Amino acid sequence: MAQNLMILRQQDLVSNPTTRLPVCLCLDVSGSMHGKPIEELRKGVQYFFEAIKSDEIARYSVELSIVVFQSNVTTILDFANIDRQRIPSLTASGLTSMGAGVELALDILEKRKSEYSAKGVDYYQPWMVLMTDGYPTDNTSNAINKVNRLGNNKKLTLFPVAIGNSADISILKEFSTMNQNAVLKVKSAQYFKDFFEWLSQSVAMVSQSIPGEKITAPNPRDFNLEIEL
Amino acid sequence: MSKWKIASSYIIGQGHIQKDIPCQDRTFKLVNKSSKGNFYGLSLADGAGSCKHSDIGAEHITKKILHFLNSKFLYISKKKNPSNYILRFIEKELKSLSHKRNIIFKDLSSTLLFIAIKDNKFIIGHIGDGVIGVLDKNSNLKTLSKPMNGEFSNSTFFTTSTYYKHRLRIIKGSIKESIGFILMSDGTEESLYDKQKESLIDSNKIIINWLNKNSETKVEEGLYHNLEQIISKQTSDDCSIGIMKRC
Repeated sequence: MAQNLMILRQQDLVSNPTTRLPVCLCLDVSGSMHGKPIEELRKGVQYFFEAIKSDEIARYSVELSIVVFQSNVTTILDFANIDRQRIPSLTASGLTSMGAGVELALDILEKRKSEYSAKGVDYYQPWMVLMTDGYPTDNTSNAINKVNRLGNNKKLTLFPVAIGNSADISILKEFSTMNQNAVLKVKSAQYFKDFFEWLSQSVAMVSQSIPGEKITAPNPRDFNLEIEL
Repeated sequence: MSKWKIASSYIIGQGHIQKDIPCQDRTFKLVNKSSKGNFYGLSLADGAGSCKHSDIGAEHITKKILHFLNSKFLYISKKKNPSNYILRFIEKELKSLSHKRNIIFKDLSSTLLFIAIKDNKFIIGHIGDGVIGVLDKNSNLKTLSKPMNGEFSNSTFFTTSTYYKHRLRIIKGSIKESIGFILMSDGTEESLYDKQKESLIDSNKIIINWLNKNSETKVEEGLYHNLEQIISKQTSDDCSIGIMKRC
């Protein structure tokens, strides 16, 4: 019927790259995370990756990296296609260089954005997830200033996540770009999977968003997470 | 004096269907033939995703802007920088609609793209994302106005973004060698605009030239089918397109 009205074929169209959502996990792997916490964290990260890969839209949109901080800070997984990424093992030891960790995470997000721009790839506002079970052992003021500047200009979303009851909530609040500087709290290592389930659903929503759309992430409380205001 | 054919269409995207959001893209065309010169206008708007009445805002502003351009064409084409003048009209119209329908002003947000032609002069306007292109008689297709996005993909400028004073891009000129124009929303952009090269792909020429030997009605029907069966398959967003061809 409408066959004579078709002048385009699929092969006549341009195939623009999928809009990317860069996400950096900035993880505390200091000595206090030794044992069960670090094992559960790795399982949680693994679950997160698998959840993204199983989402038809998010798998082509979400790009992941991992920065870990202990006495030193390291990018253990740089941005790449998720199918080519293997999650490295996590080893807990040393101090908690949170400030340096966040600064490294900001650097690699900035670098990724530049790469997108150079290649004409559209992207969403980057996300950083900062997870810790303790207190920073380095100076965090520079990192906090940078995060706040980006957050105030709506150029970064940072979710601070306290693991257990010993995390420095006040410093995490300073990093937070969430409403009322909220901090998410994972009660213990056994709930990491719930957190990463919430995270995967949240990033999947962003990866499907359209201009002007207000994204409402799933309620963290539905995922056994507490919210510290 | 040249004559123009105009056709346009829009279709709801899969993402809107799944989220139970109405189609927020709209197009409108206006032809006013008079002894003082014929006016040809084409407009397109893409309502903001999260604004629940942006479809109403898009529909209203696509119509009003063309009637405004029709009545003020000469003044606007002579005015050195008419952006603020046109923006004031857009704001006034949407505020009036907001008041009349008891809808929050921001809920009427949309992008806006338009072309108005009279006496071989054109006025082109663009707020937000979407693309405007021109075809010349040597079959060169050029991007006249690129998407006006914020840094991030889901951020753009809207008719109601009153904070951004420079959100309306105006291009004025003489038709001369131009024989066709095309407008598209960001949904259609995914298929017909190469973002890496910032250029419109050659398929746009086929679409514009479709008006050469076919009636506006037939081309509109065809545009709808091509949006439905080909272009909308590449995006979850609504898709809209408008074309003008000198004949």
